[in-house]
Amino acid sequence: MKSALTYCLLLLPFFGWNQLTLTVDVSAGKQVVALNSPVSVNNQQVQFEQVRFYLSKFSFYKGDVLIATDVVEAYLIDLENDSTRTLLFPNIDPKLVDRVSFLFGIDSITNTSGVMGGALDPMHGMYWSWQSGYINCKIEGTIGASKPFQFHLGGYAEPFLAAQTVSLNTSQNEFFRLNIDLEPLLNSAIQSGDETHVMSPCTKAVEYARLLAETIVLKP
Amino acid sequence: MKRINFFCFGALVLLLSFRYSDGIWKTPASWPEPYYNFRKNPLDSATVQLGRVLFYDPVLSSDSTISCASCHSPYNAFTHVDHALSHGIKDRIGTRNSPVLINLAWGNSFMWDGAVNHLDVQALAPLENHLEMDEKLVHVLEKLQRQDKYRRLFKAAFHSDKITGERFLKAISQFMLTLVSSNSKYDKVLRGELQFTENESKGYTLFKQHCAACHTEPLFTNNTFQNNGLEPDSILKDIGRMKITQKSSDSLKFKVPTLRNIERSGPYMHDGRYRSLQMVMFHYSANIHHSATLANELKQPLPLSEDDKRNIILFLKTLTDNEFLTNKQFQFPRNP
Repeated sequence: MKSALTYCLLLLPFFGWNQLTLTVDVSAGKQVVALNSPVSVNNQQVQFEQVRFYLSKFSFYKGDVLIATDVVEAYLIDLENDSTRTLLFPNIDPKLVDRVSFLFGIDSITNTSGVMGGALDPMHGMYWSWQSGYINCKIEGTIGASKPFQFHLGGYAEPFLAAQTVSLNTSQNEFFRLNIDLEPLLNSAIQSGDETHVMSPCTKAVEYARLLAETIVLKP
Repeated sequence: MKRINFFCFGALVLLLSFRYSDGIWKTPASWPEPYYNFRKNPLDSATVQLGRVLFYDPVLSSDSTISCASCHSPYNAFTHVDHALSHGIKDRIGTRNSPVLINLAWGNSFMWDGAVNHLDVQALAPLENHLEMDEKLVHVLEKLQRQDKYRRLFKAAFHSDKITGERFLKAISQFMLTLVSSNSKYDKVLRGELQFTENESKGYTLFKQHCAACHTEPLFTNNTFQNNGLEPDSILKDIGRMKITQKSSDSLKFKVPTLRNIERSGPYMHDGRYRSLQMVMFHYSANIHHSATLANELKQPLPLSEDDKRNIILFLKTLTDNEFLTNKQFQFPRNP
């Protein structure tokens, strides 16, 4: 009887008890971003061929008190695979937290700790081979009829530390929608004219990563 | 009682795992502790063997013609024999001289410019370089997954025949970690088993005076990046470490290579410009190119007579480790 009760308690999170679900949406302003489906940015048609990025190191707080840290090192969000847009945090009671903190990208320690598995396995194509380091974010596509853009944003060492800390207030809901808006990045790239290819750790990569992280919001 | 049994079983497993690991890895006496964290990738014979098979398999390249060993052959201290710049698939010529693979557990960065920060991810660089193997990791894994041989070897190593990037890279890393050279005449002299000749001894004294600041014993490298006064090649235009850090203070700096087995690992320097040790000695004594980042130790030419140079070379030849160079455990696996 005692062991049956233990199993029930262990299985409860899988039935939704004390579970927080977070869905990740990608937009361009008010338009939903989907691959190979054009959106309008700055009066130009923009089409995305690849949108992939890491969210990592989730921590949950009540005020300034750390309530829980996620055991999963990192999540790779990939618009090509819808299931990657839903993040489950079992054992997190939404009523006990009022803030979530995470990284948009991968931290320096992970970047210098050798090869990893799961979402961080280099086989996912989010690891540079010519030099060490995770590509925190890959956004590729075309502007207008044929102008390609490629943003491979990363960098784990100063002065090109690209991972951005995001901290957002939560309500007591069990389901959240997290939204990242690509419009400011594309606007900046379109307006600058020649900054549509960022492929290595550099000042521009850090600037663009910050621009993206600042757009991340949480909606109940 | 059950608890005691469980505890005893755990202790036995722990004990056996240490014994197993210790059988493969042994830090040479009086050497510093390795930089590599073995706790995260403990050596075991099945994984080392898998890494060895992968190291010698051209399936890693896009047209299945080039293996790791193509540019890192054991008889040449795991570098490319007689090539200034290594060539990859379809005879594509690279931009740098392939480095030796020796005592990598003590390395804290890899490649001539330190682009790679951990041994476990080092193999990705040649694998995906257009001029070398020109492959994609995920495609290599697919090719391996289709082979019975590799499913068997991965299962033996990882208790699962699922082939992932992490397992693939850790296995290659394990094989490379076993490439320890510590039985040269130099080592035997230090251990009191042999003696230097008079000229070797003079060379050792000169070496300690003029070279050891960077080529520090016992690894014969201090793992730093230095500008050693090579005039930049007008075609390669290689800026070295600066490519990675983008700092002008790193311009023309390259990793200080180990000198172990130097007799067998020519040609020398990051671009293989010197074909002999005599030419290297000439460089340091009379051919230094002065630039803003030149190493302090080289701002004055090394005051070496012809006899001094000869004696230093004689000493350098005592770093040849024939047991390492002919170790069958490091060679092509006949029956994987």
